[in-house]
Amino acid sequence: MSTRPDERLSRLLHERADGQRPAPIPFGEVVGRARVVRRRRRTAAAALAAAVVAVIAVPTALVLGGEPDAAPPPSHQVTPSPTPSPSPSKNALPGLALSRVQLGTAPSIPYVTGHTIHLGSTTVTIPSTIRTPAAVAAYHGGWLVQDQRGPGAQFDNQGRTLRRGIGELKTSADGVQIAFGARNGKVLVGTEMAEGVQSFGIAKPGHVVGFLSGGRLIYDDNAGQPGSVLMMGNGPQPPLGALFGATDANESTDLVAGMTDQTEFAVVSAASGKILWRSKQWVPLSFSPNGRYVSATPPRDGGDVERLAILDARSGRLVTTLRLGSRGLSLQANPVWESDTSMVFGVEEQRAPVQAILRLSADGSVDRATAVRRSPTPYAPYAFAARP
Amino acid sequence: MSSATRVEAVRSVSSSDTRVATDADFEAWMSARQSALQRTAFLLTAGDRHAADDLVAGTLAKMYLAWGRVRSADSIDAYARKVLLNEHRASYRRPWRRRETVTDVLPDRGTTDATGRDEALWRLVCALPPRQRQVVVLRYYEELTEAETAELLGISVGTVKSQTFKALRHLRAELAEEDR
Repeated sequence: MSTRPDERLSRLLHERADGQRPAPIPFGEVVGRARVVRRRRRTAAAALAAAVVAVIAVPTALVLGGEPDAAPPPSHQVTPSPTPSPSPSKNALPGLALSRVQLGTAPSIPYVTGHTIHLGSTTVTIPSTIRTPAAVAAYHGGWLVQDQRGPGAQFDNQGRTLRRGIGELKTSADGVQIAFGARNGKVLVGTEMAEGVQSFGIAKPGHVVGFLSGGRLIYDDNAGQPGSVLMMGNGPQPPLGALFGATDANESTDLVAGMTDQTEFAVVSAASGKILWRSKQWVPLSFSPNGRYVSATPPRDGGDVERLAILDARSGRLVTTLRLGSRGLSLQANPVWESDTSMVFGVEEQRAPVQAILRLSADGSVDRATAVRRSPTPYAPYAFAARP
Repeated sequence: MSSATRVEAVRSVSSSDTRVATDADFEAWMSARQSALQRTAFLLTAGDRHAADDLVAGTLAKMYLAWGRVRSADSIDAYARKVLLNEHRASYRRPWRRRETVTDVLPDRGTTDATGRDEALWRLVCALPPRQRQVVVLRYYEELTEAETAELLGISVGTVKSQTFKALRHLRAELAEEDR
C-alpha cells in the first residue's frame, strides 16, 4: 500500500486520538482548580503590589477597596477594629478577616439568618417548607417569603401557609406596597395591612422588577430580547425597547436598570425611553430608595465578585467601591439598600467558613453590621427584607 | 407547572445569583467540548492520558475564570484551543516537568505489518519536540490551515512551514529506517 506520509500521519492521529474514551472531568474539579489558579494569580499580584509599595515607600492607611479607575477618587477608608490593627504592608495581601472590620450598628432593616427573621430585638421563625429564604416582606399581618431554591410562600403570623408559589418580592419607595408574582399567572400588589389586592395579568412567566411612579410596575418576561421589559399600569403601557432584561426600577426617579445585550448594561429613563448611560464594566443591580445611587458589580466571569460599587444612578459615575474577591471575601447575594445612602450585604471568607453582614455607604465608609458567625451547614446566605 | 410557578423557578436563578446561570452556561459548554479537548491533549502529551487530563483540567479552569469575557467571543472553541496550547507550552517549559512520558503502548519493534508500522510512526510522533508536535497536531489532526496554526501558536506562517517540514522529514527518514 502506498500512502503519502502526511496522509498516513493524519489517519494515524485520528485513530489514536478518536479511539480515546477519556473520563469526563467533573465540573467541581474544574471549579476547585480555578480557585487555585485565582489564588496563585492573587499571590503574584500581591507580591507585585508589595514590591511596588516597597519601591515607593509611601506610608498608607488601611483602605478597603482601592480603586484604580475611580472618578472621583474613592473615599472608602475603613476604621480598623481596636485589636488587632493590621499593618499597612499586610493590606496588600489578600485575605481580610471579617473580624477586623469595625463593628457598627445592626442592619436597620429586617434580615434573615437561616430561617430566622431578625426584627430588632425580636425574631420570627420561617417555616422549613422554605428551603433558602432570599427575601421577606411583612404582608397582611403575616409574611411573604421568597425562596432562593424554589417557589416562595405566604404565611400568617402563626406560620401557617396561606399561599404557595410566591415569586420575586419588590416594595414601593415608601415601603407600603408589595408586588410579587403569584401562581395564578398574575402579579399581585398589596400592603402589609389587609387592604385589598391589585392584580395584573401576565402573558409570559418572568419576574417583577420594581415600581415606577403612578403605581406602575416594571416586569421582565426573562426572554432576553427586545420587548422583554414591560411596564404594567392602568391602560396600555409601552415596552422599554432599549432593554433586553431588567434588574431594578426606581419609583422616585422612574429609572430602570438592565442590560442592552449580553455584554452591555445600562440605566434607562422610563419616562423618555432613552438610555442615560451604558457600561460594559458595571452591572447596575439596585437603586437606592431615593434613586440617587445604584449598586453595581462587574460582570461576573464565573468566579467571585471582585468589587462592589455605588454609582451615580443618572450618570453612571463611580461614587465609591469596595474590593471583595481579592481580599478573600465572597459576596453571597446582591446588596440591599437599608437607607438612601447605605447598603448591606452578606459576605463569607474564602479561607474560613465564617460570614457576616457588611455595610457600604456612599461616603465610602465600611463597617460590619453583625457579629462574625460560623457559616451554617447546609449553607445559608443572609437574606433581607424586600426593598424598593 | 403553572406559568406563575415558572416565574419563581426562573427568577430564583436569574435574580440574585447570576453566577448560577453563568456556571450552568459554562458547564453546558464544558460537557459538550471537553472530549474534543482531551483528544487533542492526548496527542499533544504524546499519549500520556494523565498528563492530558491534567492539561485539560487546567485549560477548563482558566476558561471558567475567563468565561464572562469568553462566552460572547466569536469562537469559544478557538479560544479554548489557544489556552490548551499555552498550557501545554507552559507544562513542557516547567523545570520540574517529567522527563519521561507514560504511554499505554508497549514497545513492539521488529514487526513489519501495517499495525507495527503505525506503532512505529506513533512512537516517532511522540518523540517529536513539543513545538513540532503542536504544529503536527494542529495541521494533521485539527486540520487547520497554516495561517490558522500560525495564529494559534503566535508564530509566523513561515515558521509553521519550516516546523512542519522538519517534522515530516524526521518522520519520513525514521520511517524509511524502520522499513529498511
